[in-house]
Amino acid sequence: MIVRNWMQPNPVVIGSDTLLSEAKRLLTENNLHGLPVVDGGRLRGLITRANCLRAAHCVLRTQNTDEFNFFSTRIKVKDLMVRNPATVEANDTMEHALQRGQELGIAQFPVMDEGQVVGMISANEIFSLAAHFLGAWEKRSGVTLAPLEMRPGMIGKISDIVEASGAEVQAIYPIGKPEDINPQEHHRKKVIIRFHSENTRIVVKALEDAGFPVIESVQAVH
Amino acid sequence: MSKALAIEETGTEAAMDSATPMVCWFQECNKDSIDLVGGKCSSLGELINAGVRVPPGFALTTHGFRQFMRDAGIQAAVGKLLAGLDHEDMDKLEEASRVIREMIESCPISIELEDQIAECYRKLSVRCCVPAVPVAVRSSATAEDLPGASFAGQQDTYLWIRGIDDVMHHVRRCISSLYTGRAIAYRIKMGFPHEQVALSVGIQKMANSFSAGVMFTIHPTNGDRSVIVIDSNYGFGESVVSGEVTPDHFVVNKVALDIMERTISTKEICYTVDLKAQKSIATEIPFERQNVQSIIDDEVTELAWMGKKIEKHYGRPMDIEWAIDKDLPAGGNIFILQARPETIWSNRQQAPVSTGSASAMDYIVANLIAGKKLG
Repeated sequence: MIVRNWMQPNPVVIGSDTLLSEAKRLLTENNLHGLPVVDGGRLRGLITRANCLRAAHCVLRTQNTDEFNFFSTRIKVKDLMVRNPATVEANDTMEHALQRGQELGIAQFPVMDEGQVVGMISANEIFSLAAHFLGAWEKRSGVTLAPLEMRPGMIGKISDIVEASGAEVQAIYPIGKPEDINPQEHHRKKVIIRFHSENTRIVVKALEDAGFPVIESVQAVH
Repeated sequence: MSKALAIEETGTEAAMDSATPMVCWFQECNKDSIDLVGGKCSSLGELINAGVRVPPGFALTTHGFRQFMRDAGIQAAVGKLLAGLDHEDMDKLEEASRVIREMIESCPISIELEDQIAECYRKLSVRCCVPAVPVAVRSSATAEDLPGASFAGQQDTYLWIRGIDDVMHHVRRCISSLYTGRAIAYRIKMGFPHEQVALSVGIQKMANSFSAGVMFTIHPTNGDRSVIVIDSNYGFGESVVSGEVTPDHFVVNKVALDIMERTISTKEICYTVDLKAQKSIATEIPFERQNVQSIIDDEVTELAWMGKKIEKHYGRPMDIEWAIDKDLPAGGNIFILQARPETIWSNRQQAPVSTGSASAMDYIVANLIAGKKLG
């Protein structure tokens, strides 16, 4: 999963001398969360929808027509943009982008390739990634196993139990906590299983009989 | 960095040199940071950390100033213009000053420096809940003994600056104030090398003042330390500082905080903001307000109380600039814009007030016997 394949390519960009009202129009019309600000091919900043809305809110709260006027006719993109925004490279992995977003608490990254803005990663792209990953439109049934020690062969064993109960395994994801960063140690992880099956209860029973406590189960309705 | 600053997502990869930052928030400064941010900004930092209400802001440090001069690459040209000038030939000095100031003011600020200033300015706007917050841009001199810089500081205060373009432009104008004719003349006379003087620029949220003025925690005309003297006019404090109007004058008892003397003058003009143009302008005060007291008695008392607190913090009489914001409710609307030690009276040798009485009662009795009135 390389950023280049998931980003929104050819993103809408804006110049720093443009009026903020124009940036707001672009954000709304294109349903974007962030606009990279580019002057002469160089990334200078990032205008986010949240910052625009906050500024507009502050102005409205003054209930002052001169302030409204200033806001809509004088404030420029450069007054509100975040300078030196955090970016990701087109050849970075999506995992890297997600991790940086978590660290910095942000959800928009201009994507750079050889110093040029070539795309955007925003909440839209991350939604799309998650949806693909979970096969959101496939309507899979699923169970979640209580945390267990992941050892070599564990996934195969779980897969065998589920398939033996008549279900068709689609995916198995062990999920740990972000602080368990050392994969060498066998940390306790929940295991999420996605499969196609007419009757999830049979799968749940098979797993519990084999000694895997189930904490969640979902029957997909087609 | 304090918690108050962490108001904004840190979506920036701060390329900041933490050892010598090019910009610096006031609250990170204290009285020991004069070399970095100059006298004015360091005293504002000191006040903020002492818990005094000061409008928030940040400074372009002397390091940032030097970076600007290096980037501009005009040192050689400036040196050539100044070479062989006589400090008494005012015409030539003014001519050189004009050329140099034009050069500085037309120099683009490097992207790195602009980004750092602009990012601080944006965070300040977010903190103040005003997009492109109006600020005062003022120079802050590093050398107390450099009158060139100190009178530059008097002149180069730009009020109600909005938008990053205007901020950058006025930062440059403050920098160029280092090369006024008088400042150049002074340096030539004293033999200071021009390249070594440095300056810092303070960028501070503009208090939208209803009235403003100055306050001394000592009587400026007779050195009486038992009183606080307040001068006030409508609008921004510049009209009082520059002496353009005769302000209202109050003398307040420092202990009881009551007003002992008041003089209401005819105030003809004030500086205020033209909200349509978003500019600071001098306007005539309407006739019916000209002879009205410009601050209410409660505000006089609160100011005096704040003055006392500041004096106590510094341990010496102070010269304070203040403003009363019209957008904020009473009780939280008095701001201190500047505080510097009063120098004329406090440096004089004081005659001892009493002649070594053992206790307060001895002193009172001794005075009663001598037939003196006790103040």
